[in-house]
Amino acid sequence: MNKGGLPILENKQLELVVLYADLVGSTKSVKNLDPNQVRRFYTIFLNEMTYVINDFGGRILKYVGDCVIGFFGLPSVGWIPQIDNSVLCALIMQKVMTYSISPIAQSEGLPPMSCRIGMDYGEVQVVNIGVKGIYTEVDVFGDAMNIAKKICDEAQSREILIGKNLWQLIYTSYKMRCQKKKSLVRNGDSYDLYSLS
Amino acid sequence: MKSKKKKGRMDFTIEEIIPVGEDKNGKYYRFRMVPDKRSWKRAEIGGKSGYLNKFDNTFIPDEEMAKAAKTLKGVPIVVSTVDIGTETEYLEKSKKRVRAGNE
Repeated sequence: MNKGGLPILENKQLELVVLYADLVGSTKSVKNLDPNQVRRFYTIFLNEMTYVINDFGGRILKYVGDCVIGFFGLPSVGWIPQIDNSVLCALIMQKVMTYSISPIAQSEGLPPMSCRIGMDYGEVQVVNIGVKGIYTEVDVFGDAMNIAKKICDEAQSREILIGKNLWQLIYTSYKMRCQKKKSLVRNGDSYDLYSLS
Repeated sequence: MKSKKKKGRMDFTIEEIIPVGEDKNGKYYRFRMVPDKRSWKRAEIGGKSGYLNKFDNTFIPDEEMAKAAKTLKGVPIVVSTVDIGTETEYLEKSKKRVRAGNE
């Protein structure tokens, strides 16, 4: 799948759940590994997270270093199921890290692994960038992208941290599992973040 | 300037389902549902009765609920299409993929 089906949505404005899943402390972890181990260390995480996001109806936007960026909210599917699927996906991603990826990595002689997840809901713009004949790509820009990245940076290892915009739209059962944790400054205002467990 | 609509969500609990007939298109049901009590409670604000959200204090007067209810007739019930089996089954599937090199 090329960019999660985004090229057909070029120049469109969408409302999406944006999910950042970032491998914690990877630079330090790979310091003493040989090149094959380094390759396995990153692919074991990025590939399995890709499967999980795909299995929950999300799409992969891109990989940035040891971070996978996914989104949920294609216009062809109702927004409520996609919001619930995104939250369930994040919960399962952390379980997959704990019970699948990390123990198997350690059994292969790799260091323990953990990730942090940041998510939010909001408007994005799908844009074709680059110079024809040299390099072009379709990418996503917008407040939801920026804020989800900042939220991910604020999250602790093994934590799922979500922004208020997403928190307001999630299913009651998930909302009851959230704890208001901290705030970010967003457009000059305080913006609440919630830890989901 | 065009005002932007903000999305909101109200979860309901279905309390009673009554079959009301069927035709070539399918079966029809009438059901009674109430706002999820974990999120909403009855309240009176500014002389109006309605539902107050326990999490963010959104208040929806009964008259607005009645207007909204009229728009729901015939609206399909949306369910998630994701089928991953149980959590245990999914974790086993993940382990198999990871052990196999998840390529």
